[in-house]
Amino acid sequence: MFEHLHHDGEPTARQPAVIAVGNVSKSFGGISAVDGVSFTVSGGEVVALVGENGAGKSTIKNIIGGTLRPDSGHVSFGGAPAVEGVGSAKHSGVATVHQETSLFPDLTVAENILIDRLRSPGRATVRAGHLRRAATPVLQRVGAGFGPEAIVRDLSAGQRQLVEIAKALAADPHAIVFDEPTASLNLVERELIMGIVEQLRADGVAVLYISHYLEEIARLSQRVVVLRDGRVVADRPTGEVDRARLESLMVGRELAQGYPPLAPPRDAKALSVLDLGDGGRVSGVSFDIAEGEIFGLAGLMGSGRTEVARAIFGLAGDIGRVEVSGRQLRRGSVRACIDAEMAFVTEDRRHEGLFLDRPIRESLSIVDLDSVCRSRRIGWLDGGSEHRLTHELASKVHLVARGGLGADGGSLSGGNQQKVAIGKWLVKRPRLIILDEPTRGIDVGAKAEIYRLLVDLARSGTSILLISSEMEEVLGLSHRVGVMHDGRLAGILDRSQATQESVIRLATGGAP
Amino acid sequence: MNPATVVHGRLRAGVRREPLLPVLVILLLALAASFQEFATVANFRNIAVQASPLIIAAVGMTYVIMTAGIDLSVGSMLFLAAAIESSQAIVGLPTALVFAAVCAAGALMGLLNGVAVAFTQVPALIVTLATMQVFRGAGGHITGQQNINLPANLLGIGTGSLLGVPTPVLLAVAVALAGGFVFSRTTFGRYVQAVGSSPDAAANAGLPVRSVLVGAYALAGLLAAVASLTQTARLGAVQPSIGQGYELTVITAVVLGGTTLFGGRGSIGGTVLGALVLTTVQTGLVFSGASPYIFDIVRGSVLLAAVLAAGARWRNLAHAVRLTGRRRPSRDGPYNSATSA
Repeated sequence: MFEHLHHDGEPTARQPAVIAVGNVSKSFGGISAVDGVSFTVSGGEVVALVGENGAGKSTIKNIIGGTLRPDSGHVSFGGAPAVEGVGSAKHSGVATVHQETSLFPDLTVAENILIDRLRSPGRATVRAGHLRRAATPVLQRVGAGFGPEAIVRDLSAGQRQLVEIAKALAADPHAIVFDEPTASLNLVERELIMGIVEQLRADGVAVLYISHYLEEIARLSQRVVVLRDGRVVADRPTGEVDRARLESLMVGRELAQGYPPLAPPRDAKALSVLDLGDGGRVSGVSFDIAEGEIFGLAGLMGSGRTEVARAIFGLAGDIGRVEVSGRQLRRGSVRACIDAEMAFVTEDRRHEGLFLDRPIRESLSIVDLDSVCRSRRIGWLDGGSEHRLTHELASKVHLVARGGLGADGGSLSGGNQQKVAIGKWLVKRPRLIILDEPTRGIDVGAKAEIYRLLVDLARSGTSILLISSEMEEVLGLSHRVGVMHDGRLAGILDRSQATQESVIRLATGGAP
Repeated sequence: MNPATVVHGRLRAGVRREPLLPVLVILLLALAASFQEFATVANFRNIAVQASPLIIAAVGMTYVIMTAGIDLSVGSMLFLAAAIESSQAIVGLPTALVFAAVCAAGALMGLLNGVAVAFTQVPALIVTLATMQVFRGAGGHITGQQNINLPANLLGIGTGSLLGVPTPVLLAVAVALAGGFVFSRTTFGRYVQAVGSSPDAAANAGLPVRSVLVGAYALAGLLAAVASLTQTARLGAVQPSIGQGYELTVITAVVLGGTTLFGGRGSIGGTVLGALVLTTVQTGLVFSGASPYIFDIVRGSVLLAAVLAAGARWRNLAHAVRLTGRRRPSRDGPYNSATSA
C-alpha cells in the first residue's frame, strides 16, 4: 500500500493516515491522563511525541497499542477504526517497541522474535531450523551482531533492544511505535537504532517516536507533537521549533539555559582511588577527587564505569586502595563507606534507589534511622522527628509528592523518584557522592533541578563522582573527566581539554 | 463537623486499614444469630484461648513473610520445642528454666533457618521444607512417638488465668502488642519491611540485610516455642500430632491478615485479625456439626480468596497511580532495569 508514496516521505493527500488518534481522552481514578488528544502519523513519516514524565505519552502509546481503552475518542489504523484489545493493533500492522523490553530472558532470540508464530506453517510442532531461518533475515535488517540462537539473558541492553525491534519488524508492520528505544544504550548502539528508524521511514513505514532525547528528535522526525498535562500543546514540523522552544513547550515555562556555573574545587583531597578493581573486568583504576570537585566518569556502556562506582562503594570486589580524606577505607563494606560519609546514588533507582511499595518517607529516612530514634539502644523510632527530618530532606531536593510523603514511592514520577534516591543521602552533608546516571529517563525540568542541586553541593564542599551516558551532561558539569575504556581508565581530561571528540577518542580506545 | 461524622470518618479509615475487622464482626454476628449457645462468655473465651497460640506463632511468621520469605517449619518447630520440654533432661528442672530452655531451643531452630536463608542462595521455601522434616524427625526421635504427660507445674501457662483472663490470651496480647511495637516503631521492624520491599535498595542504603533476615527467622522460632508452651499446657501432654499441618494455618492467618507473600507490605494487627477470623470459622464449623475436614476446605478457600482480593486491590492501585498495569519488578538484577516512563 505504500508504493505510491514519494520517496522523500511526503504522503499523498488522499492516503488515510496509518495511525490516526482522534480526540482521545482517558482518566484514571478521576485523574485525567490524556484529554482530547488528536494527531496522525502517515506512511514514510517519523512523528516525534515528546513531553515531560506524566504528560501522557505512555497512555497514548498504550491506547494505540490496544492495552488501554480510551474513555472517549477513537483510534484508527489506515482509515479503519481500531477494535478493542492488544490483537487489534497487531492485526492492523501496528507494532510497538517498548522501553522496558518484554522479552523472555531464557528463550533464544529466534523464539522471542517469533513468539506469536512459533509453529512451522502447516505443522503442529515447533522446529528449531524453521525458527532460525525465519529470524535470520529480520536480525540482518536490524544489523544485529548476534545469531538467532543466542539466549536473551546473555545479551547486553542494546542487543536486547535490537531483538525487541526485530520482533516488531517480524510482523512486517505498516507502523511502529518506538518508546524511548535508546534510553539505556551507548552511543554506537544509539546510532544503530537511529539508522534503523531512518531506513524504516525510507521504506514507507509510519513511525511514532517517543523520546526524551531532543537531538534524536531533531535528526529523525519530520513532525513533533508536544504533550503537556495530557493535552497537545504543539503539532509542528520539526524544523520550525528549536531545542529551547521545544523545552519550554514541554515544561510550560522558560528553562534556565545550559548548566549552572561551577565553583573552583578546594585543595584538599577528598577521595583517592589506587589500583581499584572489581575482581572482574575492571582493574588498575586510579584517580583523586578534591573537595568540592565534580569528577565526571565517561565511557561507553559496558566500559566499567558502573563497576568502578560499585567497587568504591563496597558493592563489588575489594581490590585496590580507597582513601577518604587521607584515611584508608575498609573495603567491601557499604556500612564503612556510609560511616566515612560517602553516598551512592544508583543507576537502577527503581530497584536500588528507593522502596516502591513503601511510603516515600521510609525511603528518605532509611540511611540514618538512628538519628530519628527516641532510644538508639533499642532502636525505638520517634515518628515526630522522622516526619521533621524527611520533610527537610524532601524540601532540600525540591521533591514534588502530590500524595504527601506517606504515599508509596512507586507513585512518584521518575524525576521525583530520583530526587528521593539522592535526598536520602543528605541527612548529613556527605563528603562524597557517587551518582550513576542521575538523569536517565527523567524530564528536562527535573534534570535542571538535579544539575543545580549537584553544583550547589559541590560549592558547599561535597565531592561528586558523576557517571553519565549523556556526554553533554558530563562535559557541562565536571571539573575533570575520566574516560573508561574496556575496564581501565584510559585518561583524565581537564575541563578545558574535554570535548565530545577527545572523550570519544579515549572511550573507543584511541590515544589521548 | 458533628461528632457522628467524625466517628463515621474514623470508622471508615479503620475499615480501609483493616478490612478484616468488619468481616470478623459480621462473622460473629451471623454465628450468634444462628446458634443460641454461640454468644456466650464461655464460648468467646474458648475462641480467644484457641486463637492464642495461633496469634503468637503468626506474629513471628509475619516478620518472616514481610522479608519476602516463608517458614514452612513452624509446625515442626512447635513439635520439637514440645518434645524438648517433655524430655527427661529438661522436664524436671524448675518451671522458669524449662520455659527458658524451650524458648532458647525455638530461637536456635529459627536461627538455623535464618542463617541458611541469609547466607546461601537456597530459597526459604526449600530451606524450611528441609528443616520442617528435620525438626519433626528430631521431635519424634525424642518422644519415641508416645504421648508424654507433662507435670502440673508446666500446665499453668495454658490453663491458668489472671483477673479472669486466661494466661494464653494474656500471652497472645502481650506478644501481639510487643510484636506490633517492634514492627512499626523500631529500626529492626523498619529494616524488616525495607528488606522485604527491596533487598537491593536495603543493601544500597547500608542496611545489615543478612542480620535482619536471621533476626526475623530467629524471632519466628522463638515465638513458635512460646506457642508450643501454651499449646502443650492446654493439652496437658505432648502428642506426636502436635503442630502437624500447623504451618498452613499460620501462613493462612498471616496472608488473610493482608501481608503479601512478596514481602514489604503487611501488619501485625492484620495478622491478629486473620488468626481470630480463622479460629472463629473453625468454632462456627464445630457448632454447625460439620466434619472436621470441612475446615481444611474452608481454610484453603479462604487463603485463595484473600490472595485474589489483595491482588485485585494491588492492580487497581498500580493502574491508578502509575497509569500503567506493570508487574512487580523482578529481582534478578538489571534485566528489567529500564527506567520509569
